[in-house]
Amino acid sequence: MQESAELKNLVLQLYEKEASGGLFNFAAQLYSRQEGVLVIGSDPGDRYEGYESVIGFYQAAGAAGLKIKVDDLMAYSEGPFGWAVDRVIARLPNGVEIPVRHTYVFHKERDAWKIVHAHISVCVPDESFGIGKER
Amino acid sequence: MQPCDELKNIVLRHYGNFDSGGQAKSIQATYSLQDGVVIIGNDPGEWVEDRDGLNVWIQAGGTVKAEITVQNIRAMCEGSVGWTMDRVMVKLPNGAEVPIRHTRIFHKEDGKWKMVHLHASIPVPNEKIG
Repeated sequence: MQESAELKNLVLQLYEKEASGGLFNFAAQLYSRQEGVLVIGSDPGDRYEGYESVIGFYQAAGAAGLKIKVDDLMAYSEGPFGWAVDRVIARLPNGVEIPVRHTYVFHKERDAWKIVHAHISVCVPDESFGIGKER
Repeated sequence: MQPCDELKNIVLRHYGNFDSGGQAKSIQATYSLQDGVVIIGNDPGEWVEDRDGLNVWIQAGGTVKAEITVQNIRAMCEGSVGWTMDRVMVKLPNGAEVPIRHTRIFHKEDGKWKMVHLHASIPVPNEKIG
């Protein structure tokens, strides 16, 4: 596996579009239409399977106008697969800042990287439920 | 990319070890130690990308006892890369039950699947975020 500047740039573009209002169209291009696409969001009900469902999620999210500050972003690829992992601060229109972590899995389809899985989460301190947990 | 029972079984076997606290062996066998491994846990401080931090994470995970009920799990792979996605309910020794979602990314090293990324998260209702 090698570091991938190409995938890093795609993730950064996604965040730029999130701030500028072009998120929906960019996500519609970036997500794969093949079977097995799955997005896990931060809310308990956020689980989107299949392209249409995922794009519906981005249509709703696109109106939020989030500003994203990237704290860490790493991306790797090997052959037709790649992944990117980041932690960011998302600033809501009401000024609230939320630490968010993302994982993206990419698959190369007809020479273009497409997202086949995304996992979006916000932090929950260990103290809120107990000290130990599985790994 | 296609569904991958091999990776699904690696994760299920791993979860099955937790009720006896015997997961240390599967943790040691599963984690890759190459550069680029990143672990994201639910706690704000849980972002692990260095070897020392990874070793601490592995050792801590080897001592936890928990009952894990798998609610759903999917695994995909192609060639030397694969990933799993699941939602589980974790019952901790203090009785607390915590819903957790995992994404794991695997890379084949010397013919064996090794985990190069873990993202574990607890869902938070949007109303609580802001």
